[in-house]
Amino acid sequence: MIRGLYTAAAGMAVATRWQEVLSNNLTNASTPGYKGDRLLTQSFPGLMLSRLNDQKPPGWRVSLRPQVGWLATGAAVRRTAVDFTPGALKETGSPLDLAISGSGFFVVQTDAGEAYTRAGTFTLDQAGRLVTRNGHLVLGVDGVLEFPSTDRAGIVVARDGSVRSGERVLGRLRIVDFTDRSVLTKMGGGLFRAVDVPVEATGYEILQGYLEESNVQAVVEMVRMIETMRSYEANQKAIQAHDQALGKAVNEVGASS
Amino acid sequence: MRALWSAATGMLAQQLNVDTVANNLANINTTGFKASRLEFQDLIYQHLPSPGSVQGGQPPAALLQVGHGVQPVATQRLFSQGSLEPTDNPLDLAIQGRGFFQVELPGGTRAYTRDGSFKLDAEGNLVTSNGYRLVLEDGEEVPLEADALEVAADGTITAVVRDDDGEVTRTEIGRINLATFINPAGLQAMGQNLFLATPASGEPETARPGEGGVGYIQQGYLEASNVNVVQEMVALIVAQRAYEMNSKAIQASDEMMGLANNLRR
Repeated sequence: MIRGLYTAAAGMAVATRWQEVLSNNLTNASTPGYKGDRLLTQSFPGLMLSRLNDQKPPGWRVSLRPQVGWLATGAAVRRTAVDFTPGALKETGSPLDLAISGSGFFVVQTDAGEAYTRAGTFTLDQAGRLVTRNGHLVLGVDGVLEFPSTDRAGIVVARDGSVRSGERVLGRLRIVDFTDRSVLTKMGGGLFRAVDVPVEATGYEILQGYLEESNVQAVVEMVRMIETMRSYEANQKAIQAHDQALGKAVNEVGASS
Repeated sequence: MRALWSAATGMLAQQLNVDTVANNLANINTTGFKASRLEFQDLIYQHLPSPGSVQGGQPPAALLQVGHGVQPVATQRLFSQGSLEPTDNPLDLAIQGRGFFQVELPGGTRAYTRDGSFKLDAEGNLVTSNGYRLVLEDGEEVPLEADALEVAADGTITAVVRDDDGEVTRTEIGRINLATFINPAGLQAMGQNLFLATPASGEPETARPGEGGVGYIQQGYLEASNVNVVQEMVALIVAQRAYEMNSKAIQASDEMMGLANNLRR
């Protein structure tokens, strides 16, 4: 009975974590390049219950301890996983908004090494270099992409990622991919960090004047939130039921009326 | 409970989003106005060693990362061309293409604008509606007896004087040079349809209209605001619904905390 109390509490803890993940997804429903998180949960390891204090059959050296059955004592969070489904592409008309149609990531230079992103809301810094909103350099195949300050013709990014200023080719955006995307962890600011070495991406197209929207589907998140809420409530009821039963055991069993 | 605060950041961000959209919509009739858009980024992630997570032979607990919501990171101004509307006023100028008019603020600072609704002041200078003088190359004052003012596509301003005999004299009184920026999105809006150069926008490069990718000047036209009403309305709907969703997340989190409080009756 007491065991059940902790099982239900574990369920509430999992639901709390789910609620945090869902809440973060919903707030980022309009963040360009955002990829939704999922929580992966698992059952606690099962226990095989057997009866205690059984009488040993006469002549037997060990007790057979008849088994009661299998029981798991709750759920735990295993990890979060990122859902890398592509988001919808939205036209913005801004020449430094870039979207990757297909798989792949832009490569940016941060203090902590290379980071990867799908959020193509770029701008130029005062030296004319292509940077993210947080000022991280966006890397091309041959290093940083720099625009001459005398450029007046405007910046053209072709579908293969090559960047031109007027007729002059300035470089090509570096687009990479990962064979196993579960190595990517989020850094915030739309950036991902990886423990693996990336491979060059193939089969992508760069669209200028477009942004990839967040891949969070509001309906799905709301339904999950209802589910989470109710699971939390059900576990709470289970705790209350246990509590009531314990109360009865403590106060009523053996009480002389 | 993190969810409460995450959702609160979402509501704040969407509020700012509505502010931006409202400002765009309010400036739908502002000459030379350029629409802004709010950009978002996800906040930092906390790598949690999850309490109660199963140890031993399992993936490391650091793989559990929970985000903290969203932050508005920038307002991106969209410098697309607004439509040119004829006004028949010779002092209304529009830029077709890239570039900004340069005006001089009191104190000598340069500001940049796409609003070409100029006027003449008492001394014969071309000024904005707020009285800031348009910067001209080799500029002279417009003679008071001038009957007409002609502005060519390359920015040359000519005063036309017709004397009593009907004889026409044309005097060149200066030229409008346009400023371009490598990153116009980095300009700082100062109100009154004016922009200031910032480190992000880069130094202005001036050029004659029509040269090297710079736009040319159209006399008798004004550039309308580039706000697209349909887009703004859709953005407003999205922002409002996102706000609502976040408030639901707060409600749900609140109810959960209420349930937890009710554990002990």
